[in-house]
Amino acid sequence: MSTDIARPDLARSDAYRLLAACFYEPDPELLLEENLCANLAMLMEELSVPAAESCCRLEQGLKDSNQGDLLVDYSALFLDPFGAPAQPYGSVHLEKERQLMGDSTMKVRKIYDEAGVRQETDGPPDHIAIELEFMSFLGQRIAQAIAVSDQAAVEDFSAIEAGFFNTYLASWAPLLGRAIQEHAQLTFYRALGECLLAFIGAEQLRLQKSAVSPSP
Amino acid sequence: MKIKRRDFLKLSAATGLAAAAFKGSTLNALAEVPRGTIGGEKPGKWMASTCQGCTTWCPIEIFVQDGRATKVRGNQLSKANGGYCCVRGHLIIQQIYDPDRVKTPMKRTNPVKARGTDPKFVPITWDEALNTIADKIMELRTNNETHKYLLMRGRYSSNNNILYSNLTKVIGSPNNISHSAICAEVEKMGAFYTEGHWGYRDYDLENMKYLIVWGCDPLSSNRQIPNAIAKFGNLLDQGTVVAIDPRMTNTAAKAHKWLPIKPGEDGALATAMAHCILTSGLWNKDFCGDFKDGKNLFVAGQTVDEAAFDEKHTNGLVKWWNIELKDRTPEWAAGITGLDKKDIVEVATGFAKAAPRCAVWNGPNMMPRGSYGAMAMYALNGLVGATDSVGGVCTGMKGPSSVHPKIDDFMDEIAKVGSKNKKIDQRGTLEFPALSAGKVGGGVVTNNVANAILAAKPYDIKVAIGYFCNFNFSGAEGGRWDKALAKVPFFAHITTMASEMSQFADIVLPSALHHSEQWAPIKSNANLHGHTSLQQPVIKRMFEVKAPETEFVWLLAEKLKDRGFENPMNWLLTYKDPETGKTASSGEDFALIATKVFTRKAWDPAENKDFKGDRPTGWADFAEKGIVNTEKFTFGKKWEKGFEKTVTTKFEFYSETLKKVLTEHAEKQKVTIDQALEAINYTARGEQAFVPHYEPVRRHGDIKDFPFTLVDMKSRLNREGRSGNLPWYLAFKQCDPGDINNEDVLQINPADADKLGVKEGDMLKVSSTVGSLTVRARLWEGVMPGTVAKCYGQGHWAYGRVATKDHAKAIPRGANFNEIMPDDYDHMIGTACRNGGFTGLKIEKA
Repeated sequence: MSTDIARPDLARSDAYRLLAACFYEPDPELLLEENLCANLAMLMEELSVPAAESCCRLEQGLKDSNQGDLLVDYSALFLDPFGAPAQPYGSVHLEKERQLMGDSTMKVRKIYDEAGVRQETDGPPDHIAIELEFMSFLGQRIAQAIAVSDQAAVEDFSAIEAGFFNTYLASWAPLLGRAIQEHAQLTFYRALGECLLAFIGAEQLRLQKSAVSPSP
Repeated sequence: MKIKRRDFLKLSAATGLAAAAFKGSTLNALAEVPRGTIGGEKPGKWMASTCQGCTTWCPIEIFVQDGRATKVRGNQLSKANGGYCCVRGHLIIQQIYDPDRVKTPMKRTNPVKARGTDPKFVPITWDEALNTIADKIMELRTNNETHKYLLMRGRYSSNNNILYSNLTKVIGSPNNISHSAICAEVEKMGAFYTEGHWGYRDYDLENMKYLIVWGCDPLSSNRQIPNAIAKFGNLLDQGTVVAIDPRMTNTAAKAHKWLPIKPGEDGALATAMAHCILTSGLWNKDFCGDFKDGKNLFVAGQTVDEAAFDEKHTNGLVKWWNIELKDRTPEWAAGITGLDKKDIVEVATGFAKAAPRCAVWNGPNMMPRGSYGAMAMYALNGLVGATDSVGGVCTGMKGPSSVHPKIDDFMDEIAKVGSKNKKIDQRGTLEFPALSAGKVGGGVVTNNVANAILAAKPYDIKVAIGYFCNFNFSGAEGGRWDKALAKVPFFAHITTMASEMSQFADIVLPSALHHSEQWAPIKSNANLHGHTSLQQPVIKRMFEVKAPETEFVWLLAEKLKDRGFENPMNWLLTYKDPETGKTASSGEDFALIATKVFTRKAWDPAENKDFKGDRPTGWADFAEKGIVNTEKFTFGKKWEKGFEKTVTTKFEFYSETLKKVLTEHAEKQKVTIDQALEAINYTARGEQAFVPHYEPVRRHGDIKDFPFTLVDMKSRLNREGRSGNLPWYLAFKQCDPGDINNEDVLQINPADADKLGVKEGDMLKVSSTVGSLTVRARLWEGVMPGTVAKCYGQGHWAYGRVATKDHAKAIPRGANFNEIMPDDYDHMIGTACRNGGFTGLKIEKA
């Protein structure tokens, strides 16, 4: 069993997961207790993603704002019933006419199914937090396969990872990141937009050459 | 969305042992399952439901694949629409999957309630929302102020009794306020105070020879649109279609003749047509009777001896002539309506010659003094014997239904006393007789509720709930609602889309969409058949939405029970599943049981054995088909048995029914009928009050200062004002004659535009006596010189991102002309106005 060669994939998986956690209703106490920002900064550095400073601002943002303020900004960005400026659902950005549960959403759900996961929460499956979590899951699967030298599984999950990322997540996450940067009122969310953009940008460089088309 | 597991935040990489990390649960929204196979789309299924994009209430089917709605069509078993839906049905897909839908209960964190001030809504749980609402209601009960609870209803199903009327009463309030008085109630005055029918009419289009479409557009808006579209071609081939409307509607564009009448002067045309029909001797002798000696004594300007005429199925034809019609010549009407005398005569006589296979299909007529015009238009159907005749107009059929359980046993002393207070809308007063369906104070005065709240007259409102309504946008002078709702200490809005009304809410609750996410029964009729149909949760709900009329009530009743107020829950527990006898155990469960209870006569073989329409074999069969059609309407029963709901049991040209209720109203107010009419701005005096007659337009704005007259129009894409955020609404807007895609325009005649120096696309400043707004000019020959037409539906300053330009600054996309329509009423019925040339406008280049 080799863990060293699997470590980059594990680190990447963790980075996706911690980033995903930032898109849930804010719980600054929990995030600070679990040292999320510092851990994310460490992971970004390890993965050579230029986001360490953004992660520091993320932490400062958490410390500077109370939960109520964070919740207001979170709601204004992602849930505003008068039209959220940073729509967290992929299909709103990818479909010809902005809508939930578009064809792209159904394809995302199908990819989840083919990869061996099912959504357990309400809402469309192409929410940014869920897509990031899915990438985290794939990273773990790849790391596991590497660790046990299962080359077929490595190739299988790597193909899913590249296909999903290039066709779906990377096609809209930068739009979301920029929208967050533009509309966020608090440091935490502005920094989150930066982190998302930096990380997705780095992943694009990593995965663009291994692009595999998803199943139709 | 919340983080469910702390493990989700732990580092697996930090352990350095990859394999170990895999054993921990690092998933939050996802769960591991066996890998699925790569394959194609799962097969879908057409599932029955009902559209409520307009008041047709069409039975439809939604194609559902993997829990997702993808297509819509008419219910293939529906006799009302022949298996087709109109374009509104197809918009359902975008309505369901609108990303700006309210997704979770939310509460305001900014106490300042105002236009352009961010409420700063944040998500809360249903539990917190319901606890808050229950606390507010209990506070009213503790203080013996339950009448200060207000329930405002918009679009509704037959389950509305539960939230709208019964829960309101059990709490102890008289204030269940519907939207009806901003909808189309005036047109019902026409049929009711002539033949005793309170409701929309049905039409035998298949056998018709002459149709007058008057102030409405059945090819695009209310009502029975798919049926009208399907039958229209044959009707054009086999008969004559005339459209009477100030603007070129869809119907006018295809009709044989379009009479562009001056707005609001319909009563003049209708009485002149009656005059023509009588002087030409073309009234229906079998229905109305004839002169005893067979000689026509209806000569212009001359009174007739009532004793000379033998009436059959009608009451007061000669009185009507003497009181109103003898001087209503075509020449007189031509001068008032702007129409050609020849056209008036041609249409009147053509219509009468086709009788009884003909009909006047009259529209909402929501204007000051509108009731008598509606009566005059509808009276033409009686004059030619088209009512209840093959090829004519009728009351239509009603689908079968049972009743909701009574609440009598659950009304405690507080509820009994509280619910007997006067209603907040001031109905039944000198100012608002509200003579709906023959009852003083029988109608709602929706738009006046804002005034009543502001004046605290008869009292103040402390707790309000609204569902599927947006009166700030849909009511004339909607800004009054802004002030009124800002004054109400607690307001909860249950809605699919946050709107202008939600801007003033303390709590916004996500509503299920009626057509695809909830159980509910619907009853409607068209094409001479009635139906009872179902709305079903055909798709997987994306968010925590609840059905307002059932699930919300159940959940609230649970909270009230927790606080010691058990009556609501005990009442809901009287609903028992007709198949199993079980009571509900959840909100969703209750919605299904309530729907089964109310529709039992439609589907239970033990209760429908004598029914002559469709008879399902049981609930499962009914749910699968989604509809029970009645048999076809049988004509002639009223000719045989009389008009049961009029005082004389005749078709009343002299309305004893109206006389009775006006007398009752005047006596109650201790005034004469003339004084009562004067108080509500009618010009009729004496006997004229009891016959269909001409009332001059009551116009706001002097013609010199406000030379243009506004014509309000409805889009064939309007899902009752809920389409503004749908991209398809904007993309296809030009399907409304004169409008253009991706814009909101004011239609102005090119000759008028030329005089003003206005070119296509110029921005205009449009002012009425109550306000100004700006809108883009559209030069269009389809509106008469001197009038301008504007479609309702856009101009939201608070809605989704498509419909609103800038919510933070309250800048709308387009213009909502309700903002500048004066707050006036047809006081007799209590309806707010939007038709009939009551709004004078000044137009300048912006």
